[in-house]
Amino acid sequence: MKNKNWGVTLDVITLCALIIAMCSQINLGDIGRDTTADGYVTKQLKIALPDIALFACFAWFFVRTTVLHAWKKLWWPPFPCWALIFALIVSTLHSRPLLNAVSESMAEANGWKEILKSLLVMQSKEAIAETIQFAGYFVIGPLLFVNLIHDRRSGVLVSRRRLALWTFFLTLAAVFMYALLQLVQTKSNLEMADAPRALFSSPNAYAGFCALALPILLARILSYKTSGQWAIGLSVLAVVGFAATLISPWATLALVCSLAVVGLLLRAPRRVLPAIASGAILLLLIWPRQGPLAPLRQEFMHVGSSTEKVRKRYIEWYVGVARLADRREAGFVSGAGPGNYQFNIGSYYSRLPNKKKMPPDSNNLFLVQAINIGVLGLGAILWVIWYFAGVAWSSLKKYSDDWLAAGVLASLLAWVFINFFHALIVRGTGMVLAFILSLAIIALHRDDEPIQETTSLLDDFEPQNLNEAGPSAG
Amino acid sequence: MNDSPNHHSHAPGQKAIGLSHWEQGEIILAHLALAALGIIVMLALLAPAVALPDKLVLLPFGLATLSFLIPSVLRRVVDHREVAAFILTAAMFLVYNLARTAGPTEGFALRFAALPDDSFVVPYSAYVAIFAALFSGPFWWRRRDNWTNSVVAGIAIIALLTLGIFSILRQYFPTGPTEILDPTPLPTLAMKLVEYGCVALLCHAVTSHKQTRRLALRLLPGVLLVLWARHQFFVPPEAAE
Repeated sequence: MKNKNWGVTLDVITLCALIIAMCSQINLGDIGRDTTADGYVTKQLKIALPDIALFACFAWFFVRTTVLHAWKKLWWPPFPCWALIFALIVSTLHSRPLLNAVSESMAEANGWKEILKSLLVMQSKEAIAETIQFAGYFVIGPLLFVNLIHDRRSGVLVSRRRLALWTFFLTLAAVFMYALLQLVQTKSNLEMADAPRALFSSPNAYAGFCALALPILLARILSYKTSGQWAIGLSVLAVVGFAATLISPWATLALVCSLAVVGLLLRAPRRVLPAIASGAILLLLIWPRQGPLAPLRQEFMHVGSSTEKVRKRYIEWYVGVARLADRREAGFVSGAGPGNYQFNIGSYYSRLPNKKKMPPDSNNLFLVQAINIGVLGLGAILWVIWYFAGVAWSSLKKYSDDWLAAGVLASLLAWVFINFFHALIVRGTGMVLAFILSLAIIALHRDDEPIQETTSLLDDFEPQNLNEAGPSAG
Repeated sequence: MNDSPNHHSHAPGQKAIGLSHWEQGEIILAHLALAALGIIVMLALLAPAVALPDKLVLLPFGLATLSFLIPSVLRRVVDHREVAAFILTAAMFLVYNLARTAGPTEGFALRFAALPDDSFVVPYSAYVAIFAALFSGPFWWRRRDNWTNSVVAGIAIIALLTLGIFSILRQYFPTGPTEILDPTPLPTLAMKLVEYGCVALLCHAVTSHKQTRRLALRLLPGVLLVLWARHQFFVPPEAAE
């Protein structure tokens, strides 16, 4: 009995640790040698705290599930998640630049040991790292979150929905407070890197995180559980407060739109319309007056800058298009290989200016992934999002008062929008997406309704099947 | 299981009695789409020398699909329309990638006033994919699924981004084949987007009907392995040089 309690306590700690860790992007170290001092730059693999937390928590989850003989009682990620991993593997095998690099390296190798070693060139290491990372975000992440929040491994259902959501909200508040502290300490002539970014590696990653995470909080605030005036006041406070710490207007736009979407989904126009109106007025008043941040925000508003006719981030969109169109490459279908974007983009600049460095996390995710894993992989990513959005939609139809499903839908919409400007499946940020995807499944099954047992990866697949699982399932 | 309620499947040899004209039309269109995919496979067989990555992916994919020869596995996949659609689309994208190279090198080509020195020859496979997708249009339009929606959405996003960014950049940079902003990639990309979009729709049309879905999945391992063997062992001498 004592052992059992100890295990449950560790499960709770695991869940909370995962949620807290995913709200940061602390770099724990780099893999690979930094060659900047030697006069050339090679790409180093960054190890972020959320990634390490994910795999450490999975190790505990694996042990505990094995001890409980509960593998058959788990919810498993649906087929689109596995299809994405399949697309990554196809992309690795089908990448011409990657295979060229490997064969060049193998040509110089003698003996089995050297041949095996020569397989690990920079490109293949990137491909392996990205495939593992995607497996973490799209398979292991949802698997952990869903089964830890709706834990039925011990034979009885233990629901930790409230615990998970409140841990998330409290961590979100802590992240905001830290960003606010950074904002207060900002000086004039601020550089982009010095803008508030909480525990994220860049202000853009922080902006993307806020755009993705805040809709869940807004849905909770605007739900029937909060009284009318409080709902309006708190939602305005949340949107304006977070927006005050952001420099990305795209993320701010996503926040305001999320407020509208959540209101629309919860059918609460009386709460949302005044909230949007007062929030927008407050933002227009506050934003231009925030001295140090105003010039950085202005930079986002214009296509060019004082030193560039057109900002590099937009030029790179066209360069990406040129890469996709290359007649010599078969990359349109399966891409240049997972994580190989940086190795395959430079030569396509041709006559377009390529002097300045891109600000961190300012890529377009859709173009990056189209180049990395091709149209097959891009389709698979969108399929995953579509599937979980379908689950959230089913949940919203099943329980019209369900704020969680409305929050998940708004969050996924914000994810699609924000990824045009800040690519958000890098160095730990994918964990937040994994959490949001898991909440779609949690929303469909209330505390008294256990999640249907998955006997095959295909069983729990289509949203209508999940919907049918309903109260009698499990 | 995941077909529309109007769907009826028949045992081999059983006549489609009692089907409405629309349903009979659907069966014909699904078979038409399957035939179009068959022609694309033929074109892939005729493709000149292919690169190592193509061979490297065809073999394991073909071997993996051998599992469809086990009746229980085939039944499970056939029962899940979207799963079948994904597998078929993934395979046909790789096959179409080869079929595109089957020619012609000269013939009907797209020409643009802005690119006077370039002509964009339309491959045989494009005619097949586009016309077959248009013909089977009424069928796939009526029974869209999430996978096909997603892949078409991905293609649409790339198309919109391309249009948008080119429209913006041309206002800032001189545009032309020898200028800073070179529009040469645009026709090639547009052709690829349309062609692969049509292949995805054809795969969707084939997998929307249980009979054609089962047939396509049964044939898939053979197709992939024959393609691999053809390009691995029967390389034309001029290509080998």
